[in-house]
Amino acid sequence: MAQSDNQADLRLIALVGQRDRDAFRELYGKYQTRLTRFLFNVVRQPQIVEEVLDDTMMVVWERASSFKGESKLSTWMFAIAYRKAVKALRRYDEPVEDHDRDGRISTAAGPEEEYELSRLRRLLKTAMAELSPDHRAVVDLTYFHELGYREIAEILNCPVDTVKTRMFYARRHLRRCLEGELPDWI
Amino acid sequence: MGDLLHLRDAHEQAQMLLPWRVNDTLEPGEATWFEAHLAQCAECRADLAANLALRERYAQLPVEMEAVRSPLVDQLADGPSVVSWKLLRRRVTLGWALAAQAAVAAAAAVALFVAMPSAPERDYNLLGSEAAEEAGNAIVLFAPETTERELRAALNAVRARVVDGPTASGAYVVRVSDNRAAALDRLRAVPQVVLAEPIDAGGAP
Repeated sequence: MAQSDNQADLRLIALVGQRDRDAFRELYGKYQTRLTRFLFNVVRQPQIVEEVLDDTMMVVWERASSFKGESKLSTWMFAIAYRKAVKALRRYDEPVEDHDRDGRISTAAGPEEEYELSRLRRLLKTAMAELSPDHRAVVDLTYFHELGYREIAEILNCPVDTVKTRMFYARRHLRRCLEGELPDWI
Repeated sequence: MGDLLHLRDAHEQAQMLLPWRVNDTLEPGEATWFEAHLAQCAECRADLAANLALRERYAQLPVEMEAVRSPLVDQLADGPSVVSWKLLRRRVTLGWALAAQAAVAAAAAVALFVAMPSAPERDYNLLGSEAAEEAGNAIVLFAPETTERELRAALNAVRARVVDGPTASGAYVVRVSDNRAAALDRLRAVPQVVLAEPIDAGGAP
């Protein structure tokens, strides 16, 4: 995140801490997409994503004044979202519904290249779905949100080595599932 | 033998760092070390290429975020005034004259926090109609851990009557017949109340 962006975040959260609703709305708009994608990849159930996203933003509203800037605001918010997601998954304690099953067995025809891309995406989604929420979180924070391992450790509240190990095993799983699919993968 | 072990250790260390070489967040010292290892390790070079491709494909992976039907998300996307308007239109029986002011007064509070339950849509009622007398005139949001007893005690203390709710976030539309401003102040002082705001122009704000 650029320094100016971080400064803008600090200004927003300070205003939110003073119960400025316009600032809260702006903050929500800024993080909604990123948090939703992250949560979807971790919990994979839309109804839980909705609940966790709302819960996360409620905590941000309630605790904004306690944010001291010791980490980046994004780190703080992702950490809240992750904790809420883990709690929600425990609360529901039900098997993750596979929303992609129908899509995987689809035999939709199309240009060969597009079909191959679509097939690869389905394989990747399936492989991701087979990982645990903790492993999916690390992959998503690394390969989509492009965070460093220290920041990820802070978000997940675990040691740095745990982050590295989770990513190592997640990559190994993805590689096994995608063997021969990625042209660069030997 | 010692050299081989050293190389193996270096390879394992590089494997642990590789994803953050992919997203370019290694610290300068690590990055330098990693590049030196890369120069002499064909396996890591291949793995890096594969993971760059993997990262690219993962980042392009569509996530069915449209499947997330968060009222909060949907309503915010329309902007605050529209949010309030939709929300009030859907959930609270208000007169036309009240709605505009309500949209302003309740914009942020209602828009940002209230994920109202899926009650059937109601039409507006004109001012003075019987139904208008039953309309909620305040929104109260409770912390998720609030017990039913605490909630009831808080509302009873200010003689507030629940008109609609609760939502997943614990919000209620209530009707306060007495001095609304004072009642809302008292509600705000209750530890479990996250938010208590007026949502129409009836009575002093």
